[in-house]
Amino acid sequence: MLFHSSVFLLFLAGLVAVYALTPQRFRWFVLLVGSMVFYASAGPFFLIYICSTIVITYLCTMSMRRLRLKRDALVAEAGEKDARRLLKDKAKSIAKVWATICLVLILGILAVVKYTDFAIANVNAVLSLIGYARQFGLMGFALPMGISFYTFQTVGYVIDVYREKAEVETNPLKLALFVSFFPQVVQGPISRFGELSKTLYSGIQINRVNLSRGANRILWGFFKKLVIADRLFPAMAALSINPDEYQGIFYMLNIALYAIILFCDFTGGIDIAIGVAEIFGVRLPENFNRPFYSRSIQEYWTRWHMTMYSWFRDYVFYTMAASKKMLRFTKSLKRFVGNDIAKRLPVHITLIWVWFLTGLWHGATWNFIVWGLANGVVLMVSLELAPLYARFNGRFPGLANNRVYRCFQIFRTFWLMNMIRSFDIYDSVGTTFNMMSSIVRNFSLTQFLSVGISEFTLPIADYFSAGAGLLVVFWVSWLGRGEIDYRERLDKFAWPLRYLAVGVILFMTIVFGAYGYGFDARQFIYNIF
Amino acid sequence: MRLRIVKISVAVVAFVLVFAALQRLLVPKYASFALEGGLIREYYSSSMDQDLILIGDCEVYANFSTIGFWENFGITSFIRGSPQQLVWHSYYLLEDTLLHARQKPKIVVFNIMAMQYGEPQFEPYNRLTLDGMRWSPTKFRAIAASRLDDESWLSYFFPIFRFKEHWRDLGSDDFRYFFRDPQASINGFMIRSDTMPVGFLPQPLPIANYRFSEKAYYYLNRMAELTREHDIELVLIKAPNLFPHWYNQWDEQIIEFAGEHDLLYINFLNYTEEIGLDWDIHSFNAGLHLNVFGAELMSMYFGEILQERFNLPDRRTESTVAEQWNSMAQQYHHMIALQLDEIERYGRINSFLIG
Repeated sequence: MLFHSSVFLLFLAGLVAVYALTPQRFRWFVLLVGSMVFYASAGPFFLIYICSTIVITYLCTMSMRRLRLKRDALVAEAGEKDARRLLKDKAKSIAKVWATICLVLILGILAVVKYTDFAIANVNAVLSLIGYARQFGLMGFALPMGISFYTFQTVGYVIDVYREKAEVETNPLKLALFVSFFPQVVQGPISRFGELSKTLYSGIQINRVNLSRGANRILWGFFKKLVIADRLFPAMAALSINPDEYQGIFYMLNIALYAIILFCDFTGGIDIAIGVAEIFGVRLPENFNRPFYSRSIQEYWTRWHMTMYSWFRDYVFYTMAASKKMLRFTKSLKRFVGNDIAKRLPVHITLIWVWFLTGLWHGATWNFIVWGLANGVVLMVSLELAPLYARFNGRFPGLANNRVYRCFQIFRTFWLMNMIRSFDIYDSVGTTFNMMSSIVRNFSLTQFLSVGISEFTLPIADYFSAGAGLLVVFWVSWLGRGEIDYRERLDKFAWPLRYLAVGVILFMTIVFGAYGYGFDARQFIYNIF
Repeated sequence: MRLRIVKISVAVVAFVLVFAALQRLLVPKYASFALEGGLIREYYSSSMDQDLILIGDCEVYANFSTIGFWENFGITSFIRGSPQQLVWHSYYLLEDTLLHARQKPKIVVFNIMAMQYGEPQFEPYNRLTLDGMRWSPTKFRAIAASRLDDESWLSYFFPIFRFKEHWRDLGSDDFRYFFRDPQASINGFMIRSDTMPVGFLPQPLPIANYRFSEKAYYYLNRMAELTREHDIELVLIKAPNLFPHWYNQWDEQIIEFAGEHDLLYINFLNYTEEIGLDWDIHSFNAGLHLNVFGAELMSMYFGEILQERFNLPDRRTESTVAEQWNSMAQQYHHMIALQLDEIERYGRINSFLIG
């Protein structure tokens, strides 16, 4: 059930009606039933995976809760400070066992269904490389919908419970709703239990404000997905499947198109998720903050897919960087390489490891792994060059606020990210490097002018309609400056102007949207992760 | 509160108006391309009191001149034809005709070429037939019977969702026919005065199964029942087109069906000489369809059979009817003269629309 299908809209309308007619204390249950129906629509068999994750998480976290309660009772009874600490340490080590069991099992499910074939394919490649004839057959597991997202959200919950940052959800059905909440299960945003649970179970009645704000946000998501992303996609596909033909400037065009398509596709999906949740009074975290205005790659990653970035930061980077092993490693390193390097090297190692995992999370291919590592390397180099930048900025103090220099930084970051992102586009790492080098090898403006953009399966009129859509996106992005929800700025307009703005977006979506007869409904790019 | 109601009312009215205007602008007008798409709709702007109704695919709207029936026999007729009209399309068009007709027809003629199809074929052909029908439970059932998997109900209720891509090709026709529909036929007959002799005809290939499908029979049966219920004579015909090929095995099944239901069945392919058809001069596309001169011969031949066998009334003596039909006949002859003139001047026809 794709978000941008009429079936989903009918499903949503039905669920809103049932939700509105249900007494407040049972409304969360309506959301759970809706979420399960939504999930089952991708294939009833997939329910086994998500339900397994829910059951495992529930049993382990309840064990941790019982342990915590028992510990608290014993600690209260224990008189001496040392005895209390001993009890706490013991309880923590047992909780760690439960948390580890839980994480191994739920990440194990993800690993088995998502990475088994990748591992087998690599083993086969190595075997054939060393001249061994035997090859293992692929398992061909079907990837359950949203498994990467709901697994990470659940992992976050388990770690928060272990760290005692989140209360344990004692109602298994409520936990099931947290894991499977249908607007976000497909492509995020990745929520934290502490934040989401504030509104998820509240059963707020459908009201005019939430309905209108939610519908507005959903419309905005449809607009970006259908008018821009799906409209431009055939051009990108045509450029991508012919890497030998479309090099140099065509590569530049392709990666720019991909940036636009991915942005509109992903943010469009997130807009729909946030809007749908908002109708039910549930607040999901924002996932984007005008990322293409970033002036550095560090800044970019705090503005693009923010919930994934913060997830890796909080649950992997900090955990690893602050682990006893890493501290011991730093200490031992000091003896060999000195204080300065010993401090920086573990950070870089952690950074590379985190980005390796980020790449792997995106997909079981070398393209994604190299994409992740490329991000890590660029961030590492940025960190290393930070003192140099600081000296440079000290020498030219006015430059940081210079508009032209800021534009240059934005432009530089945009193209750097586009090039890194091109690992997503081409079928192999080698092809991607080849395409990157074609910028200097084969940059032919005359070839581009002779071919023209109408060659890439799209009529010229489609570029104009998508271009008009992009202008609207820029306008709305400008409205959303200063991290203010664009709808709040829109609310300050006189009502005829406000209605006009919404009407223009609505009719542009109806007329210029790539949907219906003649179009294959294309799922959101992040659905496959 | 009152202000909110005003605001919402203004927004809703504005939305409906803009939506309706955009829809009207974007749906095809069938004025200079695929003119056949407007044929089904044209019935409702006719007098809807014809004695003879012809139903079927292109083999009816190109092959029988309604003015030919009128001028030679005083038979009032309408052709409810559309491209690749399938049997269930035809059945529901018959239902639709009976639903809207001011006076019940006396004879319904059905061209059985479409019996070869047991499933919906192509979406565009569904639209060419179904979009022109007026909304009624009949249309609803027609869509349900015809819809392909990738067709949405929504696009039938709101055709803008089907034809929105037309924004790329908006032309002067879309504005010229914004408030009115073009007229492409004379009571369902499309005039083509040009000639293209029959050249190469592909040899018919054997097919795996000659048996008509259950679905085709089901609707043919329903057509027979419906006409019987309304005391209307149903006549089955096979128009005399040379291509696509009409197999003997198919013909035998229709003969059997007609015999079982006591229906008249005429395969005009067997009477081309008696009709006087010359494939070098009476087809506008190499034997696929007849031109207007061939269609007039067909009307002459068939009209005589109908009048003799079913005693159809000659309505040329009814002044109101005659006035209306003579006016249409004038348009008809004017169009033929215009097309012949264009052929002489430019070597091709430029004018297809009657109005």
